[in-house]
Amino acid sequence: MRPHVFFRQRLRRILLAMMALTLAVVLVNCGGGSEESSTADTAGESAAPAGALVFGSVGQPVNLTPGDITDGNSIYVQQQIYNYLVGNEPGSTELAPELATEWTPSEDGKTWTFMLREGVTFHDGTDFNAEAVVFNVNRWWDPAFEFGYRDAGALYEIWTDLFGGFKGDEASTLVDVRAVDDLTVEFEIKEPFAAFPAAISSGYFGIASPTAVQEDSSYGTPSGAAVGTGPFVFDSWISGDRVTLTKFEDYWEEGMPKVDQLVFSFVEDPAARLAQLRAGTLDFTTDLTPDQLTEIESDPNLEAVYRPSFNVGYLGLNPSYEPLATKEVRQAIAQAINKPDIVQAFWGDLGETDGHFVPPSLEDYRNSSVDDYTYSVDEAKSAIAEAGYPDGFDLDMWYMPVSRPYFPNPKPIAEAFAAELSQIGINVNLQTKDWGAYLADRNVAPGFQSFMLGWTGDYGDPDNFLYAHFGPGATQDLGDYQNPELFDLLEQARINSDPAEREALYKQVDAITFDEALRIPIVHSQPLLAKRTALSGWDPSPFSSEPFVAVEKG
Amino acid sequence: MGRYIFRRLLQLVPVLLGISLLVFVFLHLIPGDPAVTMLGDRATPDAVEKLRERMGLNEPLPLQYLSFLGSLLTFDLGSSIFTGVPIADEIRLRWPATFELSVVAMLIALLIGIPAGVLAAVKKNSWIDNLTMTGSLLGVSMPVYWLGLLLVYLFAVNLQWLPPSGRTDISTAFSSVTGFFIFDSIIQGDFNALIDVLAHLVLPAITLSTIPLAIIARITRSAMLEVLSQDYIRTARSKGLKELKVIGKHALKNAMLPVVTIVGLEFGTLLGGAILTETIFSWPGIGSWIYGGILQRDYPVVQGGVVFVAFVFVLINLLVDLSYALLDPRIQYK
Repeated sequence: MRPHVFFRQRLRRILLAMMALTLAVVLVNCGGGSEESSTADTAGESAAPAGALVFGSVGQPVNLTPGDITDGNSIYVQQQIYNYLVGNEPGSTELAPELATEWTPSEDGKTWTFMLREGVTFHDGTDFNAEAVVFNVNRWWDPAFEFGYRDAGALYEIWTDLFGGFKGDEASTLVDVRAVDDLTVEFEIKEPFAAFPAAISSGYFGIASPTAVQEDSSYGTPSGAAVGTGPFVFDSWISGDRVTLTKFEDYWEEGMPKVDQLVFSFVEDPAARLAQLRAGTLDFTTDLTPDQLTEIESDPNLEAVYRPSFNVGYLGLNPSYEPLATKEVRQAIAQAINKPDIVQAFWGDLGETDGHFVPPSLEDYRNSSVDDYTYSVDEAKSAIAEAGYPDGFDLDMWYMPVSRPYFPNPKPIAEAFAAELSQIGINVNLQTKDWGAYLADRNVAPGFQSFMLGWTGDYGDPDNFLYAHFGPGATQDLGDYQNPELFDLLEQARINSDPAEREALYKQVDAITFDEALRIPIVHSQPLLAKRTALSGWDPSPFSSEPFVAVEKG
Repeated sequence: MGRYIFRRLLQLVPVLLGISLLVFVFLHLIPGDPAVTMLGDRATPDAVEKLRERMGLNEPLPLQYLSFLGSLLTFDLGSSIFTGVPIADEIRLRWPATFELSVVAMLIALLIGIPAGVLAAVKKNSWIDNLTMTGSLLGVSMPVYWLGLLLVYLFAVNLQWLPPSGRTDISTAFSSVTGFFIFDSIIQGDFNALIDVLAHLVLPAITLSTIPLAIIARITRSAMLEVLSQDYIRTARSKGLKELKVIGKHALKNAMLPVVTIVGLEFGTLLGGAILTETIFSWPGIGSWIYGGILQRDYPVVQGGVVFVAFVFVLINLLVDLSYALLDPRIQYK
């Protein structure tokens, strides 16, 4: 073939290939339009000045709409943007005034009146008042409320969890909510509920600007608005990357917040979080694992920070399975496990063990005569022999496949339990399954014979721990265990508003749950956090997240 | 040639249909569902059932699949169950991150792998050859997660030469139009941003490139060895051509066919999302997004994401096939 013809053929092929490539690139980048649409920014568009505070978050929020979330990542960001009716003293579960300055129950306990703070505005300039509170509550409680955007998929599942049901449901705790005047809100509830103020102020229920919600049907999504009264204003949310917030100049608390910009950077992997903290691209972070403590302590630029324990990790024993139906057998299991050694080995300084289901910060509700089962292999062995199992028995034990704040390394911990129990003749068969299935199947009869699980409190009241695990309807994973005395005590404590009487009731509950040994508390752990030494003003809350009002660098 | 391309593009349809069906079936075979994952520790059967109703998960499966197919046809891939963000938007945002990272990683793999393979073949059985092949074995055997963390600790934490994560510094003010940061920073003339972007690409790209690099080096070596033993190479040498020209022009081009195939496959794999690398370096790409979707049982994310990745993979393979015609004039497509 003559050279120039050959060349033309080659050229043609090259051009075709380039066209194909261009076509492919164009096709691949279509779908959504090549024009800049108004949806989420591309990374880098919002810049934080060098003085910005950067927090390493475990993952991105599900959304920034109060009431429509249950996950910790969403709550963490929401606590910077929103305020709540009632707040907490820094680092504690004690209630403190926030959007409400006073809250009082009526004589019969069925009406709660909240007096609101004056002079508070939302980030968009609109006034905060009783109407705003009513608007927000209706969004969560009333399925027919137009601005609940339930057609768009908002679910508000957490409301039914904490308050029985929605408006119109038989089981709904709330009967009515009304604005008495600009600064007074009244809640009418079906039955007295002493922990109501704490519950309505838990991290799920931030107060959003009614104007902003009404104007934006994509409120709370990465491309929408999120407007509250909190210390930080929502600036942008780059999906999968970060959320950027700026200081609210007109925040009602004098001199707060301390920093001009706050960035939540999403880093899922704990090893990566620690590496970034050490490299300085993060200023502070949360949810590190106990084995990272030595690394933090060895780095002069870092300091370990401990979140007050507000959780419990326990071993559940299902009495609907034969050997466990006998209380003495369950107690023997508690005696056969060397909890102090196990907790020391797996948690070090980050864990405490005792016989109480509620964590140490709820000490007013712990019965002082309850200590713990003393570790004794001999006593345990003779106890199960007496109960009719001299040769021991087989036990299915389920552990979760994911790391939890209360059980950071479930499998080795389960193996430790199995080793201990084998000493008294109990042959443990370790099992696990997918986390989602684990949570669902334990409640499907007959449930798991024994299982590891835990709980982090939603609000600072023992009801949140005890009713949710030992109350009527809460024992499905324990083979629907019934104990009328226990149920009665829990119901009474729930509606009683006298603090001294409640304490007494819960102490009785403590003694019973200890004796029954159905959910053996293994540990109350302190999640490990860390910060660079230049950071100050960070007082982690027992509730897994807190506002960063007082945090500053340098 | 045009008709060939058109026919190949038509083949996309049954391929994508098959993949969408497979993904749908597998997703629904996995135990656990989004409702339980959403409710977490507080999932009681009652709450789960109510949530499932509201999320429309109780529709018969064939109906759910059909509605998914329907939405595919209108390019409406639905929205994430968890965040409500439209899938198409998520892909549009995350795809450039993965693409840019994959391209740079591939470039590294090619620029080092091919010369290494050629050298190993030309100097067969020498110390260079052994070194390259051992290095190749190491590259393919090293756990990516471990290597990535190692690089971060060495260069970002200890030496502090390079940033440990992300695509840009949090304090870099830089506005991107296309999502391809290298491209954008160049056309905007923002030199500082370009340096920042490149600095952030170094560690993840190196981490990601090790496996393709190792494979490419190996394949290049084998292909070169095969070609170098051919008669026409002897002819070229005896014609008096310089050795460099013999290797570079005659041998290499003919050895490229199998290499291009592998490059295409590897590139397709990289574009599927480098989950481990993206996790360590907090890289906001497709891989970690789909992986998160699987963990949370966020069906639309996984379905939309996987179908998209399959689409890209098929396109890449088409390009690879077309490139054969470029490399070997004997190959023609009708």
